[in-house]
Amino acid sequence: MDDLDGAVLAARGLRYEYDGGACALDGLDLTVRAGLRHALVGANGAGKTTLFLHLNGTLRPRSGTVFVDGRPGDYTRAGLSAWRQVVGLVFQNPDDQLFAGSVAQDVSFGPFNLGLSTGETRARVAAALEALEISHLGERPTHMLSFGQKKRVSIAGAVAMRPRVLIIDEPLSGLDPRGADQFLGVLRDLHTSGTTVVIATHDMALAYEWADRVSIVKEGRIVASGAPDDVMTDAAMLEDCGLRRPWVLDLDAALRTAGLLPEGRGPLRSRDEVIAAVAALRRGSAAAVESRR
Amino acid sequence: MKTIDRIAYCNRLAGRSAAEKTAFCMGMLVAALVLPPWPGGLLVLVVMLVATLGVAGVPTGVYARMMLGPLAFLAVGIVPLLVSVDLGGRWVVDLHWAPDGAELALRVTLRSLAAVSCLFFLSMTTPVPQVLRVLRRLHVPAVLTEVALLVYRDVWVFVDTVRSIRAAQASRLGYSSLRSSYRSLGMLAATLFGQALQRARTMDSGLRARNWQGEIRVLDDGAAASLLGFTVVTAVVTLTVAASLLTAWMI
Repeated sequence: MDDLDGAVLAARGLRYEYDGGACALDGLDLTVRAGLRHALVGANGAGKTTLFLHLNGTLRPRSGTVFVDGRPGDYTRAGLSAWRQVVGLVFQNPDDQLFAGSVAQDVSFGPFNLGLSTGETRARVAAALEALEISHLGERPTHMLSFGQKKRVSIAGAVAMRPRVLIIDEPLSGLDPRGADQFLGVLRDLHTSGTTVVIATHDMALAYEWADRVSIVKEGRIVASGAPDDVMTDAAMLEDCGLRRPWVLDLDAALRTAGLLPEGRGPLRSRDEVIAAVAALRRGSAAAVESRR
Repeated sequence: MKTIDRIAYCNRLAGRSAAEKTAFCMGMLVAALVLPPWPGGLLVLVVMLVATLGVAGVPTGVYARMMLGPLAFLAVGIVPLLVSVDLGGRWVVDLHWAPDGAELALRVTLRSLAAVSCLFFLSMTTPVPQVLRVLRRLHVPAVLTEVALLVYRDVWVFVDTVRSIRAAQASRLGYSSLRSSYRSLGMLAATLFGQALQRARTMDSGLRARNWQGEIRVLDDGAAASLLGFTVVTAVVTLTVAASLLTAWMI
């Protein structure tokens, strides 16, 4: 088998059909390296969610293998239990996950399942609520939360188990701009604390700006995988996958064509970089006018 | 239903332990069923009204609206007690007031209202998950309490789903005539059934993703029961029983 060193999670040749014959995964290969921020992008129905359900052992492939820490996934009861301590999964719709009466109770569910004591569980719950900035919601009943709050609670439920890999399906969907910004901060903290974070998203700009590594999913297969600059610049290929090049790169290309970006400058990556580049442009032209006088 | 739930979470007794409130409810319920309806039932009813409306501060309007359900049942139920029908001859139906009918109806009414007021006290002061915890501690099997908890949670999801499906149907004129209303309602029910199955499946993977092994264990929240609380509960129940027995003896 090829290189699984440093891969905390890997999939080789995964194949899966849902009952009824719709092919969901078609020989999919994926390698998730420890400590990296990994984004999966793909059109609706490309197989991202199905893949995630394989990555924590919920679904079992018809053929192919999922590797956890370089070893093939173990689907026995004990094996799955160990697996889910390594890999935390957050569903796209928080209502699929929240069940308990109150927020603190829901978050305590995972730690108790790890066999932790009540005291330790309490500490974990408090830390997870703090990390998601929802400590004030602890006693709130789960059905009296806004969508954004539910989303945070569902992630706190996974974070409280301290997984090494946290997989989040569509983390920003349904969040308002400020909620999304705060959320990116949470993701940043998780990454800084050493968690490998994997997300699925349609948001190309987010994937480009946020991820260390991007994998492009099309019809149950990974068609490209690598650094964002390597896999997200090919507009034709992305179009073919039902995606679109991130707007920053479109702008980058337009500025370059117009000769407005200095030679040798790397690609623009974010809104802030675009603003800085435009400001520099203005200063540059002012300086040019000055020198012509 | 949403109103009751909200009140259960924020009333003046929300901070008290669920065990104390359940004990109070059960104690008074037994009193209501065992004591003679006059004056015992009336006394229980009065005490529970004071506890629910006065002490817990449940809005009277909400309480009255909730009472409409049981009252309707009661109204239908006491008619046969009040009225007696004799099928004397072949074609003669004799309809008249039943002997002792009024007294019997009054007793039934008092006893039912007293019992209902006990249950209303619990449901309006104590959130469902906390009641379930008390039941669990009383050794009700975990299978029952856990399923009840999941159902409680799902009910809210389904209430939202029903609301949005109905709005979607109505905005496409799904309820513009009686005929289309029946059709829309049927479709809504069918959709909901499908969604319930789907939801059960995703909830299962959701719980498994957090290492669920077949038992749901979460932090205990809510106040701990106190000796003082139980003393107050016991005192009120005892006083009610004593007062009603004493009155009954004096009459």
